[in-house]
Amino acid sequence: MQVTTDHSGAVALAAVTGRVDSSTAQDFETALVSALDTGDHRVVLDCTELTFLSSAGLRALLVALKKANAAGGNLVMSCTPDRIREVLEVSGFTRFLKLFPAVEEAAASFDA
Amino acid sequence: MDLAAAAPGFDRLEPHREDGARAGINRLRQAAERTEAHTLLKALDTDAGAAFFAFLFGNSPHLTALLLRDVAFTETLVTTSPDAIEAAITDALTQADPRMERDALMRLLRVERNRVAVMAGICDCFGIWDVMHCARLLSDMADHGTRLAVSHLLWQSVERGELEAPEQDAWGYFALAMGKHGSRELNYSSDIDLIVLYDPDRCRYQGRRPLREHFARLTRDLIGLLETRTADGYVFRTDLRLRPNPSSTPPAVAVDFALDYYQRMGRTWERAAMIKARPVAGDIAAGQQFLERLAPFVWDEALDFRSVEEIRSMSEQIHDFHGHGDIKLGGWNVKLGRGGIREIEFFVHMHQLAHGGLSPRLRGAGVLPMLATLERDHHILPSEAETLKNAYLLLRRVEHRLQMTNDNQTQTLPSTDDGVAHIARFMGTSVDELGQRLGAAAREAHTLYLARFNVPEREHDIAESVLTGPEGLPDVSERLGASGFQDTQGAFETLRGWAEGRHPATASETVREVIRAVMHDLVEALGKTPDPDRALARLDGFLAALPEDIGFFAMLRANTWLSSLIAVVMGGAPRIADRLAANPRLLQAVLDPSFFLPIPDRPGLMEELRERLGTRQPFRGRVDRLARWAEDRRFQVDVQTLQQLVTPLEASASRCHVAEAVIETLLTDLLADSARRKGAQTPACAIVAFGDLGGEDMIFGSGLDLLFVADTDDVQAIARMARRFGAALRRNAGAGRMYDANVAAATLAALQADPTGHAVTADSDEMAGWVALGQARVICGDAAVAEQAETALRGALERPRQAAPLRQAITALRQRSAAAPRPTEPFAVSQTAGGLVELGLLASYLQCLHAPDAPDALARGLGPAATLDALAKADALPEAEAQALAEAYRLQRAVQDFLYLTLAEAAERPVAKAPPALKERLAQALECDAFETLEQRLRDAQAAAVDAWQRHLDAA
Repeated sequence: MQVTTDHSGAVALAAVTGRVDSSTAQDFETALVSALDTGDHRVVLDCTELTFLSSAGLRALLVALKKANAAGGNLVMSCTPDRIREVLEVSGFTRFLKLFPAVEEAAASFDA
Repeated sequence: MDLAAAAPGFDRLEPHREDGARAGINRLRQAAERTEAHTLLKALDTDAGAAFFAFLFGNSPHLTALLLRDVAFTETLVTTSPDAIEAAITDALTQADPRMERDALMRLLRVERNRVAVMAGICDCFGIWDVMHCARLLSDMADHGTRLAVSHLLWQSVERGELEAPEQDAWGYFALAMGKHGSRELNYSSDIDLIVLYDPDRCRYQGRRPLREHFARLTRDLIGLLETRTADGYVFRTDLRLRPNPSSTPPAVAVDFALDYYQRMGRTWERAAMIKARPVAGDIAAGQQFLERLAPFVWDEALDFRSVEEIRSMSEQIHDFHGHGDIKLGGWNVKLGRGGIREIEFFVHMHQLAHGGLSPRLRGAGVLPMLATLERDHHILPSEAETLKNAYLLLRRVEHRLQMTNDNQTQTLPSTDDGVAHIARFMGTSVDELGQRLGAAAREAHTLYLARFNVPEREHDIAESVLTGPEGLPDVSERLGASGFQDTQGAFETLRGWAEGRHPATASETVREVIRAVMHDLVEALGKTPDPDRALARLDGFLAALPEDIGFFAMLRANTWLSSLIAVVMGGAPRIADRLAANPRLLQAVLDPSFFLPIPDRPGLMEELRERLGTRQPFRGRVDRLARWAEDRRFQVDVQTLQQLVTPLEASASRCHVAEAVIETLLTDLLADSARRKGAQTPACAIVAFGDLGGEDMIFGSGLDLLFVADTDDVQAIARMARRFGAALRRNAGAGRMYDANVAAATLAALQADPTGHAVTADSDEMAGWVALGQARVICGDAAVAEQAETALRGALERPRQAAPLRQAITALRQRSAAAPRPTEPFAVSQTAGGLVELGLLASYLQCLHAPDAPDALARGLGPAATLDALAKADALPEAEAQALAEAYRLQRAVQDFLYLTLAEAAERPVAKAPPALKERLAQALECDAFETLEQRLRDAQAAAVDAWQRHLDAA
């Protein structure tokens, strides 16, 4: 699992690659929180290369989302693979986490 | 007042009525001169002091009257800190003797009540305390008033010889504070709601009138004592109408009558009201006992979304009745209007009723503490909690100003411009700003309320089509076909059947209305499953099996995302669907947002169980609750496995942790109950697990093989305890037994003498005992017994054994347990050549053979895969071989687990002929890019196992 972050735009872009499971979830959470802290608490998570998201990964997402939300920002997801989208829908996480088909659309949602 | 305590800039607050302010100051000055209140006079001569009193006199006739009535107290306002004044009031009330004369008590209560009103008003207006601190102060006053009045009346009964004075206030008569008084959130001019009860068995009554009549009269006196207006005012207007059946019952009702009423006839709002109930006067212990007995009816662990729907509907009716569709300033009701106080309270109450049965943390009273808990437990986001909190505080502050003006219990903003301007000034702001702030707060609160409990109107179209009758069929066929259904006619008829109330669960008009609201989401979600027609048929079967409406559709309405989960279960996991049909209550667990998060380890689960079970339940009740908890947690593991949120290894570990927590809790409870029954110490005991739990290798449907070990010679007593222990583990949890548990019993001495003979196994063969011993593990119990049992088990495994007879015994065991004919399909992972049975026996053989040489690694309870890992570490098996075999075991075990979850009907076997979507899902679950890849991996794994079997057992 790897997270690369780009702070060049108005909204931080974090791209995650690989598996987020119980062994990588903590690093994933740390990377997301770091992206939030340096990105005005507004982050788009690009999930194009995300291959697996476990319950530990869901928790990491929730922690980061709540941190962003409490600071007046947000964390949104884009390009979520179908399998992971289903997990987020079935678990009710889409009530909190907004999903967008493309990074640009996700970034634009902050201006809406 | 120590004016330094006021918020910065307080002196810029202005009176609305200048003439009122001037007149008030003049009158106060005259009164101060009359009473020689020199400090107060000096304060009035300062700009700050003049501004302070001008604001109060120019905005509140009620506060004006109170300040002028008690000039001595008014003087303390300018000399003493607010906290010190509050402490003095509390001291006066706490130290008061309830046996004083009636007139003296009435005067004391009224004087202190007025002082509290002054303090609450001033501290709120000048930002010294937040509005909820003021509400607590008012509530505490109500507590003291009720307590002193009740005590006074009870002691008078003693003096008249009607009651005997009890020890420790065990009067048998008590008052429950209800509503905002109960939750210590009283608003400024609120009535207080009391329910007064008595327990005839605790009363030492010796009067001539019937007891019922005596307490009815005493309660009427209580009301008089609190309500009567004297020259000093009144204490609280008091309402007793929340008691059971108030039109036909006396003011005080017997405890048993009340319990029976709530159990059999209690309506939703009456149960909801009990969330805030708190004993405040008389026999507090009896009050607490009453609430504990009532708790099961308030916090029902059964599915409770009917209550949520009822409250939601009640909320809509309030809006309809009061016509509070628009949020506007003049004439707007801060309590009942959309986005008002009531809606925020409903938001919290609905969450509490829906989740409080399973989550004791949500059983508290108080809107703000519960909002914080809802946020902490992930039910709502921090921003949502903050929005609702800020809206609530603002609305409560406005409500206080409305009531503080003339001590009226109103929540409606004045309809005149001048009236609105007054409230704005009293709030220290302008009309425009107040309008903007109130409008924004109420709109945001209402939006959150709608988003949480209502389905958007636009999503009713499929329901409309289904309900339009036969002529609408082409339209609905098209829609259902587009959603993915093949048999659109069949789907239409099924859905129409629901809408027409074909099943008992859909029979009521109310339910059918809710079905209309959720049908679109449900159809869309079912349409996304691999076989929508089958998923719908399964859901229809689930509904048909329900004996009555359990709030299923109401739950979907309140949690729109739940339709997706229902569809996934109905469409892809028939065994889970069957369990849901047998125990629909399981759905409630899904609504906890942590349901999809990692499951705690054993200590975390133990802590949760302690919280959930409490301490006071009898053994049988505790076992029932334990069984329900275990069923919820096992359901959680299954759903997470189905959704691939956990790896097979993690799922297995969680299943073991749940079982261990159940066993440990049950053993503690059983021993405590036995000791209580016999009045004697029970023997020290421990529990040994064999099989899947012993080897930490549980999958879906794994049973428990346990040995109950006790340090005693009384064989019959142990056998009785083991039987009771086993029966409790097999208790029906709603969807069948908690566990298929086999519990044997042994004295510690017997286990030490013959560990193999006590290994729990269905097979009488000695080798089977050895195999079981290799997976044996002490789960819990007395430390000394556990250690001695563990030593005995390890000692047996450490004994050297000859390879040849061991091989022979293992081979014989394999032959006995082999199915005939042996399946050739690789997905028949248990019995196929190189499958789980062979791998398990191979691992046991190697464990028994090598344990004497490497006791630390091998002479202990290990599952097959862990045994193979340990053999490599002990250099008893080449690492590559051990790794390949362990992987072969884990892969097949994961396949077995997933197939148990997803295949129900025999017709679906062999797996190669299963629906393509299921095969694809199986491949995904095992992290293979295609079903064929998984099939090949299985064949390779089984070939490696066959090869190893031949090498170690056949060819040796």
